[in-house]
Amino acid sequence: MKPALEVGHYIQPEIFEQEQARLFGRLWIFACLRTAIAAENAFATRRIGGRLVLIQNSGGRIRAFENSCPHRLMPLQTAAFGQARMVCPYHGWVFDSMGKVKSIPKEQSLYAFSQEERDALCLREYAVETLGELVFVNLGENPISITEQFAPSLIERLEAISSHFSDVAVHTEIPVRYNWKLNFENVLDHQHVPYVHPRTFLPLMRSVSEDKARESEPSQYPTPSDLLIDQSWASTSPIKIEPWPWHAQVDRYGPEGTYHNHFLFPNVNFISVDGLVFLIQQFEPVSASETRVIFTLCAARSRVRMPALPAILRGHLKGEVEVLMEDVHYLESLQAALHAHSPAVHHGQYEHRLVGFGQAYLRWMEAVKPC
Amino acid sequence: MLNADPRVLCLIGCGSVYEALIDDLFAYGLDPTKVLSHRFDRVADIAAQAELLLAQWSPQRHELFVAVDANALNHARLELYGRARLLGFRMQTLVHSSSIVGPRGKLADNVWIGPGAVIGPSCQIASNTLIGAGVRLDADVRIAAHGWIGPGTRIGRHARLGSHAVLGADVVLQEYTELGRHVLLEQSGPWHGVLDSGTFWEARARSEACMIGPGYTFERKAQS
Amino acid sequence: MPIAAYRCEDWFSREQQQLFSRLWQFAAPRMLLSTPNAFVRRRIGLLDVVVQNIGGKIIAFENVCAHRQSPIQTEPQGVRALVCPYHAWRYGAQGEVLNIPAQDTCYKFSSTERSQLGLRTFKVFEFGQLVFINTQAEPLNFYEQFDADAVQSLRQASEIFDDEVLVTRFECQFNWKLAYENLRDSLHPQFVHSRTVYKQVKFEARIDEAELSKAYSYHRTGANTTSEHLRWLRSFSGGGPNEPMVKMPRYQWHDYVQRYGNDDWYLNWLMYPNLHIASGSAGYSFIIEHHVPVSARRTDLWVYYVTGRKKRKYPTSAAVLMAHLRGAEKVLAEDIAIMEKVQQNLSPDRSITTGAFEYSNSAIERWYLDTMEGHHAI
Repeated sequence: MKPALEVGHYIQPEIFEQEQARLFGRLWIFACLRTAIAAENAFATRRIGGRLVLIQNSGGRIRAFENSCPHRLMPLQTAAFGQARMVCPYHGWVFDSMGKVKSIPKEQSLYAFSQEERDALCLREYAVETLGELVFVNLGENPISITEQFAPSLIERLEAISSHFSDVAVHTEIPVRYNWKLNFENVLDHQHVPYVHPRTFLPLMRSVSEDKARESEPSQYPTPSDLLIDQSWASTSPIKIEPWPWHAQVDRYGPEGTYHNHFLFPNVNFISVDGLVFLIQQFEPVSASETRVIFTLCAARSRVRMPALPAILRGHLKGEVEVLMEDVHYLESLQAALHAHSPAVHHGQYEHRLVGFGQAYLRWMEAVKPC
Repeated sequence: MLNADPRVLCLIGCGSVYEALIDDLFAYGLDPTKVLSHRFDRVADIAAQAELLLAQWSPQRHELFVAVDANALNHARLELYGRARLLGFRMQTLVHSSSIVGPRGKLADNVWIGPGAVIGPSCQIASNTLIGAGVRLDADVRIAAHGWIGPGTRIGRHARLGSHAVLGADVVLQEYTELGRHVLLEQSGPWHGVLDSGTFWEARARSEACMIGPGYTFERKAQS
Repeated sequence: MPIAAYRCEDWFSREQQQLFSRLWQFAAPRMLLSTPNAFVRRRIGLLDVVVQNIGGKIIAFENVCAHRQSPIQTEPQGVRALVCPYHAWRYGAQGEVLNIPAQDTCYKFSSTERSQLGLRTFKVFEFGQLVFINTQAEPLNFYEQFDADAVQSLRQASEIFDDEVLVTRFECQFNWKLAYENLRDSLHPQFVHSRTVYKQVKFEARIDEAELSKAYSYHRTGANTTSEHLRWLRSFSGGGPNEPMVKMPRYQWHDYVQRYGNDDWYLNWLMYPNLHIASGSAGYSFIIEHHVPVSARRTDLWVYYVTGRKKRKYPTSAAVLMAHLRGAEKVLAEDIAIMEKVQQNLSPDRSITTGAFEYSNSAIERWYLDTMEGHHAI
């Protein structure tokens, strides 16, 4: 099968800029977990579509603002996560919970804004949607409805599974030297697991019976779909992991022995190992050849106090990072070798999802928003 | 100085600290005839077997030392120590004869100081913290409970380490360094300043990992 | 030669296209490819190239899997089957795909699609123990680029290279051409290497008046025909005994290895564009220097050290090669330091004046500029 994308999409700076505006500027992009900002004035900051975004829990609601003071564009917060009222550190401007300027030190004597100017002073606000514990932001002026990007059945699933999240999580951002799409394509492609992860991931899948494994490949693959709604989907597969005592103390999601996998266009992969551990992987574009892989990992909510929870989360994160670094080894090597005349890609039928991803991507890269 | 107490010491655990103790009881001032030992085969067995094991001893006649290594998924160390304290057992403090503990130092229960360690004056080491071989603590270092300090690590004066600190081997903390709770440092540093609770720097990581949520990036609401 | 030729990335790309992709280039010494599945991976300009022994045959290919463009070999050299590590596609000696795991269950390529899958392979030419490649589909004949007689001695010398090879790489911050202008200048050793190699070999700048005037005339007017153009190209390669050694050092290991030739002379060969082979031990051991252009201002110098073929195994053979490297590093460091300074000082408002003793560089300059401008397509 011919690929939808060309090598230029993975190496050209102009393509990167276009993606920032047309994809990341118009789609619903995962911003953070609600559990990470589940208190008044807790916040998270992100870089989305080339802009700095502040996600603030204010007045009981999750809101997203451009992290840029209307005075002289200073970011209100620079930490990735924290808890603080919305006050600009530069000149002390204070904002209310809706992002409007509430008070300015020495306002009359120093600034003397007209009433009209003053009324207009506020933070630029962006649309927010929360699916269970997953917070999404859309930078677009007239954003599409979130149900145009994620099917209602998928949304239900996300809400159900995330309701099991523990209140704390572990978070890390790993800089890698390849285009973000290479990693998304990598997670969409299960065939690489036996070769790239023979000792880490493969044994978990292999411990399931051979029959069950063979059943999972269909005799006929569907033709790729370029529709936005088809690019985000969920699947489950059998898995067997070693039982630990803490498993009995938590509220597992779903039936035992299940690996849950969700793909959220354009750049999120969200998995759960046996409904006990949850990992959100997001591939944040930094440049045409650089990406930040953002991992947020939590456990299932516990019925009792778990003083060792940080150690447990850290241990799982270490394992997931190990698996990622096996991919990173090859993907960085691949990116370094790409050039304008690289040999062509040839997809097998099983890679129909990658082709669909590319097709949908191309539609959204056009200037006019696809309907 | 031999253990003059008529109570028997029960040394329980598994891993490198357990083996180091078993091999060298004399150096800790212990009389092997007054030491009972139980080695778990695997860390995973500890949780399952702890209750049964502790039931066969009594706090009146037995003292304990829990020797379990710091290990990513190992919260067994906490559980075993916690269980034993709840049952009223007294936990010993074991200091290797080749190590030097400076004046006005305070070592709490279930603390291990390995061979060749140098603990400066006025240091405070809280319960269930294990200090490896050749570790050097400068003056007035305070390490909270349940810590693990790997061999060869050096901690500068006036440093403060929160509970559940895990420092790998040959890590260097400069003077006045402050670590919150649950901080893990496997990279050698040198480290300085303040490291927030829940910060992890794995050995070969390209970047840090952090705990997020209540008690870490925002204050935990008081329980009603 | 315009300064841009040493500094500008656009020029570098064009140079790769006009020159390197059309010429036969050194890839690796054959001794590193002697066992089945032995391979060498090198970056040649913009291409990631692997040269590998597949069932006794030496093949060269672009190190990009036909599936999803993953590099197939990730190490700089080694012994490993021609199997892509990403999805285990296996390739054969023609670069054809031999096996795709799960082809029937997952990939389902039709037989037409399947027949189109393969690696981009390059032509290979083995010369003594030296492996050359050419990335053009229809390359020029090897002997149009190199005169067989002129490099005869190199062929014979390389045939006695031993299998034990020391490999190392220096990352240099200068344009590859500076290295070759330096190697073709026999005046600099008395100044730059006065404390090292010049003590053993008194390099002299000799000017052959007839050659000089031919070179200057060519420099002014260029070639009239393609065959003249190629004749000049051939004249840039050759070598053999260069200068007599002042004092021939004798070592125990000399008795354990074969020797090329019998005279106590420093041996020196240049193969245009970027291969230099020399013997500072008068034929008992050899250094291979391959200056691989990485970008306009960066070059990777791959260095291989070998002795003549061992007559018998001896325990210190590796140490002998290490000692060679340590000695060579001093000399190389002297050259590299100077070339890096020259590179830094190159700026658009300066120009280079070549002296009479550097007449061979003048001829090369003319040839190079003509090729870059596309006269006399190769």
